Amino acid sequence: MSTTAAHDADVLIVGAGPVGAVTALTLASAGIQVVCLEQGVWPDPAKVRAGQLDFEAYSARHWAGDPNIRQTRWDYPVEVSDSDVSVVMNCAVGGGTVLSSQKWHRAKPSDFRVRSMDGVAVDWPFGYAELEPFYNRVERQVGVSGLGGDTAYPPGESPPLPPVPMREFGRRVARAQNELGWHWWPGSNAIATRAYRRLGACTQRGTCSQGCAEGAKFSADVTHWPDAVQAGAALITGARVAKVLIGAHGRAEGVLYLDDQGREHRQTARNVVLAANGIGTARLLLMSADGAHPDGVANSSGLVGRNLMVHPWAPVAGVFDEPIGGAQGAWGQQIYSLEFYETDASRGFVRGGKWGLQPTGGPVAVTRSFPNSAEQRSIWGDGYQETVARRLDRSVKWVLVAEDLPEESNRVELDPQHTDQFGLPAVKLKYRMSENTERLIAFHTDRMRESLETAGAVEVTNQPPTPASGGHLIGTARMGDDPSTSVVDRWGRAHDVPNLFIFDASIWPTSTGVNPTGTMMAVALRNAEHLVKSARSTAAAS
Amino acid sequence: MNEPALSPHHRMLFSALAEALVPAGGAYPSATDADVAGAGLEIVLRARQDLVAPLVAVLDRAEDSAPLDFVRELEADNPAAFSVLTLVTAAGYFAQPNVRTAFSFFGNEANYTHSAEDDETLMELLQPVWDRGPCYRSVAAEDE
Repeated sequence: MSTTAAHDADVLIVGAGPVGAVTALTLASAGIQVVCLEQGVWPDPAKVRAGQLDFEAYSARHWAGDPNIRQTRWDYPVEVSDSDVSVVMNCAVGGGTVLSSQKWHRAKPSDFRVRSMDGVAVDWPFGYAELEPFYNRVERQVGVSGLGGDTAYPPGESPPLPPVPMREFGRRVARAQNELGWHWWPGSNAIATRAYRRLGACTQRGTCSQGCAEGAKFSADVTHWPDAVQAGAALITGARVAKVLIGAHGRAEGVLYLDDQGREHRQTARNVVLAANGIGTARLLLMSADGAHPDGVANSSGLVGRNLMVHPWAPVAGVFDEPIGGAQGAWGQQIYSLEFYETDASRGFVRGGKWGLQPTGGPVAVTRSFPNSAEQRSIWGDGYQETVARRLDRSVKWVLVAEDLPEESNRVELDPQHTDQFGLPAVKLKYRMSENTERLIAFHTDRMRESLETAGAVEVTNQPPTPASGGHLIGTARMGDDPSTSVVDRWGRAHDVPNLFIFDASIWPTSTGVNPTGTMMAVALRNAEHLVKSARSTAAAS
Repeated sequence: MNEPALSPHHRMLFSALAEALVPAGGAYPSATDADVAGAGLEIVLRARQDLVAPLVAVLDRAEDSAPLDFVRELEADNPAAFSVLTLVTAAGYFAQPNVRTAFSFFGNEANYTHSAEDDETLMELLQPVWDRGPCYRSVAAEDE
């Protein structure tokens, strides 16, 4: 295998998802020379099949969130036989935002103080107030739609776009929440309700996670990368990074990567930023082990790969006795509830979660999303068509994002048995839901059932936690002030390697109980601006 | 693009299983009425050629079984194979015009709904939420 060397960069970014995108845009706009290596390629517009006859069959594979199902040449295998969940992630320009339904949230102030307030896990090294201005700016960049003034948050700036229009199912459940005296709020989504910058306007097809035909859904390949490239960032696709190179003085010198023909390249840089998600970043650090770093790079704490948190998703579906518009609509969330978000010790668990109300989809989706296992009753055979007719456009579901707390035993390892197509190690996931998470889910799904029954649902199904719910990949390279108990500092800088940074959700000490992309991008923007300042002060001093 | 490869014999076996899964008798077309084993199958397998091999594997096992007994056993014993069979059946069924008409669902077309009245309703619905006031936990002032 030959190795070719590329020109030196000021900053090399690994991963072109939302974190890599906002980082590249920030750095390149500040005049810093940026190279980004992305394992996947640009999303293919030909895969957007909304409205076509084969849409549901096609999407079931080609828009699958699980790389083990999607099986593109850009994915790497993830072995999940020792895990309660499989993963949802995407190697592509835009990363997970290409597939995400784009429910958008900020974390809440208490999320940053879990240890102080609830006596569990650890606090973040900064709080909500420090992050708030970065939320504001990121929300303007991505075109968040929603309504300001949510009583479950401190006062702050409103989203730039109005919320997605409420359908009948949203109104019914909102009335039920009022009747119960429970919090709800119009959905906040990274879905453009009007044409906004590079985004079109949503037409409520309900295909947000299977290709938006209008280009209304936020996706970092649309909203960020064109501007980043225009500002001077170099984006190299089909580049699988195999190793972070550490020099004799303990500094990162760059990376080795393989192109799509398996040829090895060396990309050097003065700083390296990892943005490959909670699995990919840990995998790369572990793959970079050598004689000087036998347990992997930046791993003197032994915490690289540990404390994986995934936000198990638990849905509850309700069927109504007349059409309520539940087949379509923005697939994000019509409304959400944070009624049971904060800790209440009387419930028998700590922390909480967020409910998002969403459609149930087309006829194949309502066939497949009400698992028989919940009721031990097959829908096939006599009465199949009537069952589908009873659900289609007449059903809705609450989906719980459950806060997962860090457990060192939940972890990402290199798989000793499997590799990708070029011989790089696959990932093995070891993840078990904790008793706290199980109790939390049981409580919340019972309350969600109560909500839908109050709204008039004639049939309610508590579904088991969704197996494919490892879509929020968090915690595997914890941030903190103490190098013995964390991997990176408060700015994402590795304690062990002064010019190696991690900006993705790997560094979060705790997972919060909301959809994470907003916080991922706000943290990345904060850290990228700090890196700009550091780079400038270093340049001025030299 | 290669055409899906399913022999007439396999097509016949599939037709019998699809009819067991989506039978006649109610107000809606059966799998046979909807030509799931013909035009429906073509649409699905053209989009999903990766399903041809696992579908054929299922059909080979169905050779000497009564269709209804076979699908019941498959559902109980082999969820992965059952999932392939039912995805092809359901996706083929709902791709057919007579089925779409019967269910009044014509695919994920643009379906925009919104009016000024909706905005007024939203504000009315939110009043009780505002009336209850803030509902987040306060942290130290510098953290808020």
